[in-house]
Amino acid sequence: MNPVLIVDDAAVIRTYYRTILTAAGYPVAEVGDGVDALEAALQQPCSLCIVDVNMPRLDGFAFLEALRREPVDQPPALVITTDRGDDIAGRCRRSGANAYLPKPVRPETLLAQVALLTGGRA
Amino acid sequence: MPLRQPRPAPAAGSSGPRDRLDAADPAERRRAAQALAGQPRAVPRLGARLAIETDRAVRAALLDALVAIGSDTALGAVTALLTAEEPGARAAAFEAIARIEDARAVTLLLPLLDDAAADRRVHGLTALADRRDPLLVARLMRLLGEETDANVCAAAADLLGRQGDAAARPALLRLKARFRAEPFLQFATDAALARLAEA
Repeated sequence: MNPVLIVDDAAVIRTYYRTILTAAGYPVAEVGDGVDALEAALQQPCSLCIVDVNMPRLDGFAFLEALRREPVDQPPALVITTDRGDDIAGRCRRSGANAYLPKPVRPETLLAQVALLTGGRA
Repeated sequence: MPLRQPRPAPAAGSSGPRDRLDAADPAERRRAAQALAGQPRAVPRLGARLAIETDRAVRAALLDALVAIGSDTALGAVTALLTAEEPGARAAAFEAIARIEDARAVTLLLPLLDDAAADRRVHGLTALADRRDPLLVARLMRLLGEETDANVCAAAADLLGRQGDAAARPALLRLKARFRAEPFLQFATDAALARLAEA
């Protein structure tokens, strides 16, 4: 299985997701901003992108919009953010995300959503 | 009385960089912003343009110009962008703030921790992540006792784990007890406590 790519500028959040996902058997890769995420996603296919919105250099929406324009196999994307705008779910969808979760996310919620988006292939 | 030379009239069709900040061509707006980098009197125009600019390169040039000017008003315009609706604008502001020297940046960013919106308080803490300042540690300790949003608390605990010392341990333990049912906060607090123990 290709790795789940975790994209978040907060190291503690990346570690939290990684701990949950690796314990469930998912291979994981991680980066700290949208620029590195785009580079990583274009270099190696991933089974899912878990994406924060607010990051330096390139935010999560801009990363997804850029990725969706690339002629590569498109992984599903799950946005997890502290943003609480009225239209946050719509904004996620328009940028190319398949699902959205508000932070903080519980382990069982994360695993359920990841299983759904990857077809349960841990 | 000394005689003054009359100013030459501007050539027809020409305009200064301040006027060109509103040009239709993004490349022209970017050049105008770059030309205004050393001009404190241009801060209101730079700030006004920054608030509405959507082109990424122009926005970066406006932010560079304001950081280069470095007055409180100029830096205030930069930090104001941290609470913009558009994530790209916020990301650009984070980048610019990374170039502001420590003490000034902390003074400018601390008020964000009192913002009514929790996600903006998180943005403020994220922007403060690499800063070292006694004011910040004291503010984080207070925040841990008062804050009710789990994301804000986790970001503050993470920061305190990096910047605090053994005196921060009781505040982190109280936070952990207060958010007993929140797995991410337990995880973040444990990580902060472990970091303090290693320091």
